[in-house]
Amino acid sequence: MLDHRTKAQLRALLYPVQFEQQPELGIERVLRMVVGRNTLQTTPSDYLRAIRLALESRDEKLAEIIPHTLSEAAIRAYLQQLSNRLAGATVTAAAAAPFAKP
Amino acid sequence: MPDLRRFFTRLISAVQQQWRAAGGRYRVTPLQPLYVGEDVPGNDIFDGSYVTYLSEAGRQLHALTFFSGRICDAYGNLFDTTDAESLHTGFGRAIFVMDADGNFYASKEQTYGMFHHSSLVAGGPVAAAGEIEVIDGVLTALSDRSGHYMPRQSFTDQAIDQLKKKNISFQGVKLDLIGRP
Repeated sequence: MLDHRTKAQLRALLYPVQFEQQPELGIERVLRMVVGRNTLQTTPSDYLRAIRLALESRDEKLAEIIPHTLSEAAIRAYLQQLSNRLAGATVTAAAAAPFAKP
Repeated sequence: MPDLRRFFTRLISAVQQQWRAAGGRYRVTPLQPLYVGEDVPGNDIFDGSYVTYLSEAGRQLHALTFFSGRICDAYGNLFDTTDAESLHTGFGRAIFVMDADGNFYASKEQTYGMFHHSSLVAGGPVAAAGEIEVIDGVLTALSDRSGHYMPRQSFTDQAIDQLKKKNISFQGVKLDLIGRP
C-alpha cells in the first residue's frame, strides 16, 4: 500500500498525461513542468523512489491514483520510461555538479 | 430505445437553447471530488503545495473580452497564447474556464499544485473548462482538457455556443476534444 506522499508524487507525474493516448510522448513536458519546477518540494530522487515503489507494488492500482482512460499496463510502462529518463538526468546532474558555477 | 433517448436529448437541448436565448444561465459542472480541499495548506492532494484561489478582483484580471470577433485580455489588448504553457498540452495554449453567465477567464500559466482551472473560479463550478490557442486575438484551437473538471462534451458545446455569440469564428479552428459523453 502506497502512502499518501508517494501517491501525491505519482499523481504529479500522471496529471499532465492523463488525456494522452501515448503518455510517453508527454515525458519531456512532465520533466520540464513538474519535476523541473519542484512545486511539491520533491527532488528527482524522490520521484524516482516513488516510481520504484509504485512499480514494485503489484497489487496497487496505479490507474486509480488519478482518472485515466489508460490501462494499468500502459501507466506502468509510462512510469518505467519516465524512471529511465529521470535516472539518466539524475546521474548527469550529479556528474556535472563538481563543475557547476558557484 | 436509442431513438427515444436521442429524441429526449434533442428535446432537452432545444429547451436549453430557448432558455439561454431568453437570458438564462449555462449549466455548470463541479470540481472533481479528488481536488476538494486543494487550496488548504497541508492538504494530502498536493502534498507540499496548495492551489491558489483567486479573489473576485484577481479573477477580473484574467477575464477575456471580445471586440470585433477578436479575443482580448482584461485590458483590451489582443490575447495571444504564443508564450503560454499548459500542463496537458504544453507550449502555445492557455487554460480557460467559462462561468454560468458565459464569462471567460484564462491564464497563460498553469503550475502543478499551485495554479489550475479551479484557481480562476476559486474552486467553484464551471460551465466549461479546457485550453485555448489564440494568435493575435484569433482563436486557432480549443480543447476540453481539464483534469480538475473533466467536462462532458455538452459543457464544451456551451463554450463554443457562447464564443459564436461573441462573433468568434470557428473556421479553421482545431477542436482537440476528448468528447466525454
